[in-house]
Amino acid sequence: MSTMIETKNLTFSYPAAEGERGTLALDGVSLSIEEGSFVVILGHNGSGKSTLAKTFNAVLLPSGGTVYVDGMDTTDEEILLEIRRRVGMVFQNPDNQIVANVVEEDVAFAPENLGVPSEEIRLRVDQALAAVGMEKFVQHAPHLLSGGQKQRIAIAGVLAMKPKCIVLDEATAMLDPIGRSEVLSTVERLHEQDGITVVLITHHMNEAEHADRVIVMNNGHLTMDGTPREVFSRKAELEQIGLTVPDTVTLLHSLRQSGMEVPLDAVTVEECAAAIMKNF
Amino acid sequence: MLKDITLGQYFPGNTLAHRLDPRTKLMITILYIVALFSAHSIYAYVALIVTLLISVKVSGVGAKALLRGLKPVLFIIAFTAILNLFYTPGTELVHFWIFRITKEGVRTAVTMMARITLLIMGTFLLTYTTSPIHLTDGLESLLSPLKRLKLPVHELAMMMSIALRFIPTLIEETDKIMSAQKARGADFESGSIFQRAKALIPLLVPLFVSAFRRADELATAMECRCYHGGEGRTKLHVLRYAAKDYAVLAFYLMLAVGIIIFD
Repeated sequence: MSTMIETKNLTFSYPAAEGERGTLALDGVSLSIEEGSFVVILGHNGSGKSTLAKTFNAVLLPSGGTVYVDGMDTTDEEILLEIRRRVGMVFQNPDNQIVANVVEEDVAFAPENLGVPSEEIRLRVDQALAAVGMEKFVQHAPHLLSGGQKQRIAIAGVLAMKPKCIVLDEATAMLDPIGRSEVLSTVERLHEQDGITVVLITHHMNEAEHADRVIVMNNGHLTMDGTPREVFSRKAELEQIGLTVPDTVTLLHSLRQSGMEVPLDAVTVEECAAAIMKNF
Repeated sequence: MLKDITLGQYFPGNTLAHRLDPRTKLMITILYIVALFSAHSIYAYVALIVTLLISVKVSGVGAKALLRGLKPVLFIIAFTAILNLFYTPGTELVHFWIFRITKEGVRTAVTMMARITLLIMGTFLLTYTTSPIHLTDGLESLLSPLKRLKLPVHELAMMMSIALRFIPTLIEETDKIMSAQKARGADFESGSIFQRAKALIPLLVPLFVSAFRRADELATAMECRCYHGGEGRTKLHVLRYAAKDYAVLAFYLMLAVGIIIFD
């Protein structure tokens, strides 16, 4: 399997006010994300996780080190559009990423920019809306939709570029629980059915349970990297950097403390339930 | 309260009025306005009113929605009518104290009222039946010859459509900020005009700050979706004139030319 995104010793600092030294938002991050994987990046506010995401499609260019997308250097301006086409990005606030007044026109925005012929745009729009389960809303006004529906439109808008990878930058943070599960199940389906690489940035621990891999960021450093089981079994370390583990893991830890024989690495609700039932 | 503003609001539909090319609709609106300002006789006004009624019927827009659009300009209509009523010289009808109503005054007042009402309704019909994107597409296409004069036609059209897209979002936000400020004791309703204007500052400052933040995020989101100006851009809906466009255009052209010549 080939590498989708690779960063090498990546540093980034936001421009500082005059006379001050800019703090490093990213400090020597090296990681590679395999094509077709489902990666969750966790971290508390200010840990650098959103900054990291924005370097993945050249919205932010590295201050030091390099980022390769599908083998292409993101600092190369000649191939900027191709990089952005391959790595689609969905942001936190659904209202601030919808460009058009009608759903289909918004989904068509990216292919229009890419100069795709009209008939093909029509095809892509219909496919993308079907892929997120919003095909009934083709002619709707986006501001009348729910938050979860708006985010699904935003995902469709990215899908219309036919990307290889989708980065969701806290895309569920402003949604209610129903909207959140709508978006997550859509993303999981896209990953399973179409093999799209997914990078999900979040501070909701529960969203990490279905990931292949969890990366934890803290103060611009990559502090943990592994499967959800591996990462969540390091409960004390996670709590030290201001993150809580999923409720399932917390439950298992307290059961173990009170003397019950349970494993500590069952992350999903189903696994957790099965592990507890073994004791009876 | 702010929810009542219907300016630039689009009612989705699939009537003949919705399916017309936006360029046709823009041109017939202009023709209608030209006809409106050339009209003098009662026959011309009847023709214009009938045309509008037919257009409204075809568009399927409810009379309620259309009249609601008139509400914000009611004051202007009344003001114009009153001014014309009292200040037009001519044959006197009624005279008391310093007020004088003339025959010509009544006539001008009525025509002015009809004119403004028809003007507003006609242009509202355009925005009710044309999605802002179509509208700006139409404008962009109509104005595209000006690109040769280095006029940023695409950029202007893009700005317009984004401005229109954010009207409902910003109205909602204004409502929210107003409630938040009222909850902390802000008073928007009482006091002199000067005081009331001053009371708007705590409303406008957060609104502007948030609008700038939104603009920043939107620009990033647009770039992420490969926006790079109008160059090499294609469209989902390519504008094409159909037979119905020519027919409607011919009808309005006849109306405007007829009124200009015979009235």
